[in-house]
Amino acid sequence: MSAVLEELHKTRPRSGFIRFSVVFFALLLLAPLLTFFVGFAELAKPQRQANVARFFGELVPYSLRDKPSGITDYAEWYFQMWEKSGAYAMGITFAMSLVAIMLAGLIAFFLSPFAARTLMNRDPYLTQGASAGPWQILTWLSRALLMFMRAIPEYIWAFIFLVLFGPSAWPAVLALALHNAGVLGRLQAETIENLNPTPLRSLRALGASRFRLFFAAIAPMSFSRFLLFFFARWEMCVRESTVLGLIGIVSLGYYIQDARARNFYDEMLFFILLGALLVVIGDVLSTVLRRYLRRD
Amino acid sequence: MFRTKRNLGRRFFVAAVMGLLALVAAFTLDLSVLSLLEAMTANKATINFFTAAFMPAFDYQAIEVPDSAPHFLLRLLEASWMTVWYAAGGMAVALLIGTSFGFFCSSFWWVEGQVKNREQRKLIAQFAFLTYFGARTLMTLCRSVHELLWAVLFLAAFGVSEVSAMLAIGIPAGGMLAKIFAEIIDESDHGPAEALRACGLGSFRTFIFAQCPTALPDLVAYLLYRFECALRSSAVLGFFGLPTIGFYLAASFENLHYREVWSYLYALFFLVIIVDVWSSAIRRRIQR
Repeated sequence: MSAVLEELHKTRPRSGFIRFSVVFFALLLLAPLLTFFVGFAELAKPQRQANVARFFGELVPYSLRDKPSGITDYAEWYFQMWEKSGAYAMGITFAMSLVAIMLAGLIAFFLSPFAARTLMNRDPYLTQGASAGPWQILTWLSRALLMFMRAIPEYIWAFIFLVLFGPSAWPAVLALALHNAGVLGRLQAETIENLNPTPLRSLRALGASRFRLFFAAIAPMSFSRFLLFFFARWEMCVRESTVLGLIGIVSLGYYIQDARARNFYDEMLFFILLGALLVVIGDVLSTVLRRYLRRD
Repeated sequence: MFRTKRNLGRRFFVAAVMGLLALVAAFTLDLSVLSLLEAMTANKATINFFTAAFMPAFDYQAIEVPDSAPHFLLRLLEASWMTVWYAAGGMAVALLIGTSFGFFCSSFWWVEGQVKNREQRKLIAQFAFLTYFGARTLMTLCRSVHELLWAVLFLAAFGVSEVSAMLAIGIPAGGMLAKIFAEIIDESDHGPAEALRACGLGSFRTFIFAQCPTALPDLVAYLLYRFECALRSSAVLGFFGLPTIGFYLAASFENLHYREVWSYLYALFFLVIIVDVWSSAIRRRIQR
């Protein structure tokens, strides 16, 4: 028995690359973690501690500080804040995420076939492993474009667009749309590549063009998968649209930034909590919708 | 693969409703395509910015640069390295949170087969709430506050420091890791674990020696994806004063040095590509 085990142990698959990766990432994570702990120990010094304690004291609503107050007082303060600007900010943020994800979905859906290697080659679906030929350029270009859109975070896009296009909701919407189109497009391209080729092959054999192949077969076949990704990304959109306000577009983040600038940390905390609530709402909505779509 | 007609109808219905809602939202936000086009063509900045994409800078665009400033490419490298540094620190914190809490968020422990006798069942009924639901709620709280909002909070509390940045990246990523790790572990094949359990091993050892190795490829893939996200967050934290790509990018943009901006954008692009390629190389090797 033990001889068999030893034999198995000896013949286990090994890879120098994996070993190197493990060591590399372990070192890469360990080094900053050490400085993190050093910095954390620094925070324990009395002077710093006093600062931190003062900050946490300021998170308590101003009108309720230094006097005994029950839970109803807090509820009242939070409700007032909600009526004053919370509800409006939340609505705007939500609307922004909706427009953005719709735009992202449209861009991704129509860009993805160009990035699918099974469709963009000399003889799609008929010749096994047909050479890509000049189509390869198109695939690489669209893939690089999608990758670039995805690599740059929404926040940076929004920061740039805000200056270029001036203040309105457009910079935030475009930034969200661009980044999420990059993610969705790549996922959708992979879905198209993994589609069952049999029906596509027969359509192609009947003489369908790539254009017709896409609209008549690929689009409906991949649509359910696409919607699942779409709602998963919508969740992220809701998350991000909150934050984009930090650079001055009127969404929840704007109120957070505003409160921070005026050192009203109690209001800042309120809006941050509101942002968390919005994320949870987006989470639940997207999960419910995806479950509804999956049900057969 | 094929869905029934009725089902596809439902999908199109959902899509149509979403489209309609998006239209309503666009109207309430006062978004008009015409005004966007107008804003785009109002000044030459837009054109200048996008043409700069084809000629990223390899040297400072400013005419006068102080002698103490390092060469532009060196600064680019330094900014990229700092981005990786904060991302790595954030991921280290996230990994600490994710593995320790992911453990408790997993429902692998409450599988019926695990329970040996009535006493154990009673024990589980008492502690399941504390550990399982407690851990889940805490992790939900961690990940529903966005990285940048954590950053705003920590920067106000601790000032601009490594600790604030790494906590800001690490806490939401940790919440995400805990959730996804638990899901992956619960959903992967229970066969090896059951085999070990049949041999009489306890639940902790089955977890470590059977369930975790089975789930490993997916865990690694997700971890590397999160690292990519951490890189992006770390770059953005530069806007809050940390010396990552975002910091220099914002400075260059405000000085209208658009070619420098594109150099920073491409640097971030390459960082993400490296992680992406690396991740697929690892996955190819361990999924055999």
